[in-house]
Amino acid sequence: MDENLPQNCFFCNVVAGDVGVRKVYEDQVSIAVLDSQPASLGHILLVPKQHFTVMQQIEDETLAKLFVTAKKLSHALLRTLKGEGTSIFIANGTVAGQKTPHVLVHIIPRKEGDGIGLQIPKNKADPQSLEQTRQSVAKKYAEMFGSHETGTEGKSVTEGGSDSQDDHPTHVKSSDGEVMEFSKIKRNDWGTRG
Amino acid sequence: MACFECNLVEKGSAIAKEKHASAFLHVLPATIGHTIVIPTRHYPILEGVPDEAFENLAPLTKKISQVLFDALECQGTNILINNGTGAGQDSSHFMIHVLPRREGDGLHFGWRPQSFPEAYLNQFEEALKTTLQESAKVEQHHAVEALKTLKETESTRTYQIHHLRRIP
Repeated sequence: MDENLPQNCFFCNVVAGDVGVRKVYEDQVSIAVLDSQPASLGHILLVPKQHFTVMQQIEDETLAKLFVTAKKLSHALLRTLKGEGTSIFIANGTVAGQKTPHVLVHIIPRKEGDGIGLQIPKNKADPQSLEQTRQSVAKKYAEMFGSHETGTEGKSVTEGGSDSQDDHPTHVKSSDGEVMEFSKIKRNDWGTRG
Repeated sequence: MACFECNLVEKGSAIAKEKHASAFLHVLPATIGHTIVIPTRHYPILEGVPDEAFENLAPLTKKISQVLFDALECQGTNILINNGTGAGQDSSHFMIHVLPRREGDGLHFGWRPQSFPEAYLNQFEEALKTTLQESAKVEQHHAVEALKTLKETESTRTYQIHHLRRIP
């Protein structure tokens, strides 16, 4: 059975409404359901309505919408669970742990010591080979998408014309206007924001 | 004092740059070619990144993923955001990790599925939907306000144009 055909793809059937799921959100480009095999309570699968195998196939505009929706869902999870964090995870390719032929965005509520295997190991790298990798990736990027200025970019830091301490705010404003204090977040104090 | 990632932006060692986003190689890579995509401005967590900037991070993340496939011959990529200290975020600058994956690279992302009583899940589902509806209402309110401001600006502009026309 060819799972890449929409009629055979489990998540295309989920999108079509042919599978019983706990749907929590829907817009023009995506639906979000509670994962039936969750890593933690509230684990959401954000599913693009169109069938894409990997993220690279998604058009920019749709992908931007998916990202913003993922942010919205992450925020809603934090508020509902009074959580300490979320992980947003995409697997592109079998070696990356992809298990379905329909690309998915996982949004997983997290708390310290939850045992969820999404920690990113840090390895010391030889500066020379790091620089080599940087150059070959930057070169390929320039080939594929046109170059960008690689010179000194001091100006770009204060993009938006701000050179005040605002570049490192201790308070951040979320998209729905709620103000959060970073120091509070550091203390895992999400709960007080209700 | 600027944070580590802000310093990277300042040093100009970016692999790629968009209007609001830059990509750098991670200096302590999980796998060869481990790249971070960051908003050029400093935002500590996802909730603080404005939608406009986050939308800009999406295509750059995608492009980086494509480039890693081609430049480093990886066979897959993981996109991972660990948002908040509870998720293991240890940088004060919000970032998206793009991790090139290869057979036998020793990385294992995964989790053991949990199960919860149906009644508990029903309750949670309702609570989550309520939160989402509340956010939608707030967003709608903001959209209406933004539209009002736009209309006001437009009427001022029209006034200015009329005003200009009156100048002989």
